Amino acid sequence: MADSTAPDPCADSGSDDCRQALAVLYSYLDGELTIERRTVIRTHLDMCLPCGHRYTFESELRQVVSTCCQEKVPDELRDRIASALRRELEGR
Amino acid sequence: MADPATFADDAMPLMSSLYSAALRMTRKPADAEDLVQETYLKAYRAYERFEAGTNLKAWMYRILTNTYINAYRKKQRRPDEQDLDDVEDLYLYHRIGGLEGSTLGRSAEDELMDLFGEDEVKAAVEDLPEHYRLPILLADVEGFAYKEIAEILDVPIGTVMSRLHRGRKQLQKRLYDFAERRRLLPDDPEPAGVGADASDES
Repeated sequence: MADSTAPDPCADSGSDDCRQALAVLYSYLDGELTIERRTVIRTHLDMCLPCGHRYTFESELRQVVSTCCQEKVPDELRDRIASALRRELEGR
Repeated sequence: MADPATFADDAMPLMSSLYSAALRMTRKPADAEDLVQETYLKAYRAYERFEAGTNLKAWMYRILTNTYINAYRKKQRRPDEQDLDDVEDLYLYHRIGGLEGSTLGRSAEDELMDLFGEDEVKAAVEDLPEHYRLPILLADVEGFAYKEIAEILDVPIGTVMSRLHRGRKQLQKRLYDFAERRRLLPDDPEPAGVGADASDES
């Protein structure tokens, strides 16, 4: 069943420029746009507050995910691999 | 052609990144450790075939991913790995984007960390079906380009892009569900008698 309270994603993304900016949001954040295209989007984001907010939110969310997923290697594992590699090298 | 004698110096600095990914793949520290060790040994034995000067990190990730898929995935496949209903774009932003505490001078990043907590973010990533989880780890955590992800996972670039798009939405939905659950079930209630009134905001 559709959630009638869910906002329409395009409801406040008025202009064609906004729609284009949203369409390439992830390509932009992934660094996959050409320099020309990137400049066009950057210019729009500087002028359009709602789009700027969306981009900032997605970008910071990604930073949070990335930070939370960094793990420290257990010392024991580092030692285990280092000595396994040493054994391989000596066995040559 | 790369020199095996330099392998340890070249590859050991990549271990944190590989171990982090291995843990999200296997979800179990013991399996993640074995997977990383196996990856290093395989890479060492194949190092003469690695073209020096090309992307060592991407090459190691390809070995890690293939080792995981071939050895670990079968025993871990869960019944709920089928595809899921589509989720709207900007799912999380439309629900909590307004929380951004610009009036408090706080960044969305701080707000998000308060809402989810590190363990919940990890759990949300690990809960994703694998065909979304791997591209998301490679792109959002490790910062690989689409082309590199396509080579690591052996799928077309278009597939990488569509999986990232759908996977990110699924991730946002899971994060939101976690936040909702936490709001209903506070895990750190005030001790009885101390500030009991202050914790009741209803």
